[in-house]
Amino acid sequence: MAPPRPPPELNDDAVREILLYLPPDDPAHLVRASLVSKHWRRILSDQGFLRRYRRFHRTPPLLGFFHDGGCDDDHLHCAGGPIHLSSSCVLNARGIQRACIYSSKTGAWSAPASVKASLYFSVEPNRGALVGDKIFFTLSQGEEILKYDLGKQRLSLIDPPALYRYRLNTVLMGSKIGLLGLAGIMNSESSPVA
Amino acid sequence: MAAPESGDGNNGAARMVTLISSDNTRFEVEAAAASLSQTLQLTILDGGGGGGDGIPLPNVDSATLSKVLEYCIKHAPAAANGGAPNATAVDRAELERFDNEFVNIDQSVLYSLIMAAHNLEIEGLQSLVAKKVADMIKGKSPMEIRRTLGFPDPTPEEQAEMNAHMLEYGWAYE
Repeated sequence: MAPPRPPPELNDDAVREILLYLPPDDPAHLVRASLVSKHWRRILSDQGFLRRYRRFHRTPPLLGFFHDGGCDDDHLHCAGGPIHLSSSCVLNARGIQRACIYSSKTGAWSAPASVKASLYFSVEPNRGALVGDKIFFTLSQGEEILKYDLGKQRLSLIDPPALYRYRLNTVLMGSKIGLLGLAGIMNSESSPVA
Repeated sequence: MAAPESGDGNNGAARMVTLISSDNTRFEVEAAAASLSQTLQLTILDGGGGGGDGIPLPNVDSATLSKVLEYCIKHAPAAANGGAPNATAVDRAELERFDNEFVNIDQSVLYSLIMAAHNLEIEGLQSLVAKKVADMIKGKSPMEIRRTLGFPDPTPEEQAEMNAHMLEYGWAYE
């Protein structure tokens, strides 16, 4: 039975509290919640909320949503297509980066892939790029780039060009011609390389 | 007019305060229970709400307030013990049983409880109702979630946007 009159809208705090208790085991919960309204979507895409959610559930950081290959950036032409959801758990003490992929095809998480990386590296979410069937993320401070091969489910590290090592603001970009773009800020000037 | 220093916990009778709901019903309750509300705590510490005064709560109706106070009265003793480190397992189990039963209510009541818990900043109650709502919505589609929470039907614009998103995230519905 519907309430007799439309209730006033829940405020941000109340919505955050509810979303916080959605279980992290199935990413579909958060996706569905994000479609309820613009308001909920805004809260769910807020980095502050996502940090709190991860701390609360002790879950690894969600690195991003990716469409399977062969899709335009605007996603309009691949409606309903399978999506990979990538996650990484960062074990700093051992210096091992691990990543799992949630596949929409199987509805399950893949076995974790791992790679030995130096101590104190952490992945920077929202700095990822998808090129072909590979996902790239910068590791903390741009010292190295983490590569995840969706097909082989393998993790590896690649070195950025010397010019871009140890730079704080490097950004990765995917491109449709199969190249990984990398831009860094140096003396407030952007200097892109491919 | 009551003297503000009348109740200080040293005499036998517990200090009482009066809360007034939006529809003008007066509730007399122990100060310790009402103080579970962060919003009311300072006023009560300042001696407010005693005697004939009462603290008006323009955002909470009497049905909701009586439910909120039921929770506060039950949880006040444990809260007074500083999270009840010396509470027995029986006490904790009893509180848990109470909590489970407490949120087993009509969804429109649950909705007003969420609002009240946040208005009054009652931490335990906020978590309790949030958890319950999360349980209710976790298997549902966005549209079902809206209905469950009594959101108005989406405007055609919102509906179109939802459809587009659902197409994009179709896998989340299988």
